[in-house]
Amino acid sequence: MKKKVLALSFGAFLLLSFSTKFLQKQIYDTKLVQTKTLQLKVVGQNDPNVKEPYAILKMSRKSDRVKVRYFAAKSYDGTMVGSRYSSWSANKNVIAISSGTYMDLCDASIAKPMGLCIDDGNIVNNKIENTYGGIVVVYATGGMVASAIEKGDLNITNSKTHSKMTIDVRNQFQKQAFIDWAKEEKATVFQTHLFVYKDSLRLIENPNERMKNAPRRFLAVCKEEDGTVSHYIVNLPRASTLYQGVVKAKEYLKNIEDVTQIVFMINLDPGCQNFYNVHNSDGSKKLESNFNGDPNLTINQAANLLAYYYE
Amino acid sequence: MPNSTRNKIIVSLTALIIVVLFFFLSKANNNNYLPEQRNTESNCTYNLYAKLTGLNNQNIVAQFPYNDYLEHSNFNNIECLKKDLTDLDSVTKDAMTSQQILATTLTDSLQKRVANVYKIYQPDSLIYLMQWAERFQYYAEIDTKNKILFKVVYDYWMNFISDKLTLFSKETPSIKYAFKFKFLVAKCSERKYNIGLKVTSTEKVIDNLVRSKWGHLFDASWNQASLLQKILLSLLIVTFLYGIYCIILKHFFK
Repeated sequence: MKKKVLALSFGAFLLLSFSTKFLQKQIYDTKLVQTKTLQLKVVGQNDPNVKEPYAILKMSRKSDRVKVRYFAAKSYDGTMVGSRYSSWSANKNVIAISSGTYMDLCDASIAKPMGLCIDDGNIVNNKIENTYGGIVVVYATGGMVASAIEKGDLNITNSKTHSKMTIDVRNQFQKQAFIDWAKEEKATVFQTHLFVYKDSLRLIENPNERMKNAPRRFLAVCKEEDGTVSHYIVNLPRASTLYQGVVKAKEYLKNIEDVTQIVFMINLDPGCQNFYNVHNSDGSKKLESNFNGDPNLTINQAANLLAYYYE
Repeated sequence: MPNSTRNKIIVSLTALIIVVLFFFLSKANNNNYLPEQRNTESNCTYNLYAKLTGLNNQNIVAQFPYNDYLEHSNFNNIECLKKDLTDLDSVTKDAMTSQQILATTLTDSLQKRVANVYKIYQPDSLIYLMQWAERFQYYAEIDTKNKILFKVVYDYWMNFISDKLTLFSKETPSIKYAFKFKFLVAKCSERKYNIGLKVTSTEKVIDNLVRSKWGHLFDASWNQASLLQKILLSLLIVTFLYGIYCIILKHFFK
């Protein structure tokens, strides 16, 4: 009798294990999306035992399964970014969401983005911020490109005619053509600091920078050895100064991830709207603090959101 | 210290504080006068066609009379601008080139001429400039043929004004609270030219206090504090708690 009960229990256990395994939802392919947390030596510190966390989210754009969407501001009818994201994400496999570029104020209900900004083809801000150096285009199809403003070499494609254009947004006529293109393509455009462009560091250390132990977050688009493109979100919860944060992220990508080229690396603002969530492959939210922003913030307080999703 | 002397000191200090307060209040810029919009002259007497004699589509960009045009033409009036574009077309044989020449005149060349006016913060001049630039947005809506020219001129000057406001607020942070400055910032914002005004640490703290963002306030302060500041704060908290402990001990457990 005892044996029978044991055998039955064991059988039920096996069945349950397999059935839950089969029932488990996989929102993304773990070969294309990977997360890891590393404890690495602090750059510039002589003591090798002093380490700091690096939270890495790597997303391969191989076969175009990983896509990006940016919610730049509340919509024209006043719908907040949080609500826009919630309705959009209802049927999406969201990998991660993060606050994006700089806003003029911390209060999401009245905050406006800084620098040229077009949301889904709608102009949000016409003013170009030359000091940011970077301009980023998020295509309605889920792709992303960036360019250094002073290079004047932003390449855009007309989806209907497949014709290509190179735009210099500093030229007033080309800027108007670019805005018209973005309206037609329903593209999203935003500006932020472009720290690395084609492997070149574009930031000079400010000896007067006082900020210590501030969190830093960067989005890097890199070419891998096999020719594929990967997007990395490097979250440094204790990165010290901005310059040191950029150097740490760049060195990590080049030396540890061994990427062939950092096509561009931009800043994701973890200031007063420090929003960051990463999801596990089963769709649950990663609870590890290194993969989260300010725990006091709710989605409704997000002033803008960069969302990565899997299709 | 005798009571009368103490009272005198207290009264004097209070009076001093009130005087200082009134001094700063009197310095507040509450001037709410706004310059009125200027009327547009309707005469288009400037003969651009005559000035273009001898020019062709090869040399017109280099030899266009940019300064003379800005000196004598009526470039505030859309009808005059349209007439000038027709004159330009007769030489360039290309509408886009004509628009580009006029755009350069009304942006880069005009900016060089008026640069000195905008070196220092003169809100009335900026308001007049904005009133002039705003017309071009309406011109773009009614004249679709030359839309791109009017959009370019409008965008150029709105960017110029918003850049200047950012610069002036960095040079003199107190102007952020002046009526005309706030008016200009609001107008830029209405036109979707957002100006990010530099906020000092104190202003950030006040803003977070007003909005009860205690979590962020603590996180930001703690992250930015040095080890010494953290030790000093801890000592203060310990001292404060010890004080409370002593008070409770003295009054309730005699």
